[in-house]
Amino acid sequence: MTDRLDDFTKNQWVVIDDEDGLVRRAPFETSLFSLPIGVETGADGPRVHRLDTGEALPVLRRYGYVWSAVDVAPRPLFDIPEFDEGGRRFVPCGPVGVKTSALRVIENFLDIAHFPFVHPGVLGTEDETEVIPYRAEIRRDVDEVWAVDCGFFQPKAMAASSAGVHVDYRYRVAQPCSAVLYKSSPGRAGAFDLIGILARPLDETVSEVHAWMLMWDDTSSDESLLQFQQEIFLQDRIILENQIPHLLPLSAGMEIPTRADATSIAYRRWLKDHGVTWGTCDGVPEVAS
Amino acid sequence: MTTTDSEPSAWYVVGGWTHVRPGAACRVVLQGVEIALWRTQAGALHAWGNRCPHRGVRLSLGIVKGDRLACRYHGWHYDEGGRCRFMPAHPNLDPPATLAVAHYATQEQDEAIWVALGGAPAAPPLRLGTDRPAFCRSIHLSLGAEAAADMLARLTGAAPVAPGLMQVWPEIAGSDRAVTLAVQPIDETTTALHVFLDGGPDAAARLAAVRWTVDVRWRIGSETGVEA
Repeated sequence: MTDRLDDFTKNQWVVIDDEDGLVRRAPFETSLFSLPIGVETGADGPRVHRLDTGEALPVLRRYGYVWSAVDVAPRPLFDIPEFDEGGRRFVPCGPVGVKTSALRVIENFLDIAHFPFVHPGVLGTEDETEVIPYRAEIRRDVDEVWAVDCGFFQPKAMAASSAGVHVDYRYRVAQPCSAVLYKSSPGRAGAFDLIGILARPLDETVSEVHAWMLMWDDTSSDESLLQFQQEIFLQDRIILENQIPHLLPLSAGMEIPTRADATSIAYRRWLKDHGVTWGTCDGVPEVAS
Repeated sequence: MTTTDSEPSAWYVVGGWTHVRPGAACRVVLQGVEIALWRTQAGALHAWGNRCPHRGVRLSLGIVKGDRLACRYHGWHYDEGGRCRFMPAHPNLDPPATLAVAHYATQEQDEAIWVALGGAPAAPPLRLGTDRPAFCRSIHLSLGAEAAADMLARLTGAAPVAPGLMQVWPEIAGSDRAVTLAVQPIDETTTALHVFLDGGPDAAARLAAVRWTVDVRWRIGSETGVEA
């Protein structure tokens, strides 16, 4: 299956685990783009190698996570300036295994219209389902997908929320399998909390998903933050594993988007422009069980 | 395995009528094709392609709202003809007529749910008995349809009476009664068997036929070494 790996995907850093999680699990075996890999901790930090050839793979430690890549010289990892600003609290959450393409996971993360139906009473309500027009664009200068001016009514936007609020959202896709969401903070007027999602493709249709929060919140316990995030993700997982095909369709006509899907449309176009084949499909949907 | 255009469309039993209750949706697979079976609150039955045209989520996960099926992901409503009537993200937008779900012919007869994949066949489904056949039980076998039919013939003496249907006369509650086995080819290695008892309503006989079916499954499991 690794022969389906395109250059753009191959050149990316991919999450292995959060720093603490890796130490707890190591040594362990897992996979990266269908390649079996081994992960250990050494005196000089985490180490990743291919189990088939024994070849050492590059390792990067950034944003509380350990990253690796199948390419020896991956593109530089994207910049998240808020990580270095201080003041916000970092909470990693995961991993959760999901039986679908990592790209489907990212696309679902970028979706606003599902909130009232998949996360009722938390991120949305059936009383307010309309998606107000927003702007989605491929930013050629940074080679990222952005969606701005997104707003939605949320009954319980974050773990610390006590009442429903209109929340402002901004989305950013920095890599095919990584996205960041900036949403107005319930704990600090005018400020933004960050929620990120990092997916590691074990295979084209099996992913390990990590979510992280970087937020202005001094009151919620780690446990309640984790629980909040996990509940949301489990609701998404039911949808994701029942999405057919598991590979993300890049050809027009296989799935019918509306204006509310502007981010997804831009994301799919960006992947297509970069010749991404891993985790995508181009033909008729699979119909087999 | 899917039906081709050259193959004439045929009815298959995909379950007993209680398999999907009014206001419910469920997933069945026939010859490798996924189907969302659902009933309106009033009980009308529909068999649709199991994919929302929007983002591909299985419609068998959907929620029945009166006479419409709503997709679980974004709440798109489909009417009984499969046409999208409401997109909650755009409440004031009229969905285009082309936005519709594929649907399959379906019939209810003799307490069975019948589906045909390639358009409605010219003839109605076959009868499952002569005297008010009653649905007893469905079982799943880890065998292709042909192998399942061979196994049933050998273990129970069931004989084919029509494509996809076999009949056997076991002793049920003290007398020999006709039992019809409807074979549903799920995929190349899985088959469902739906069992119908002829001879009119009789709770004790129905229960005995259910026991007979469970015993058949156990015997097939012992033969194949597969815990079905």
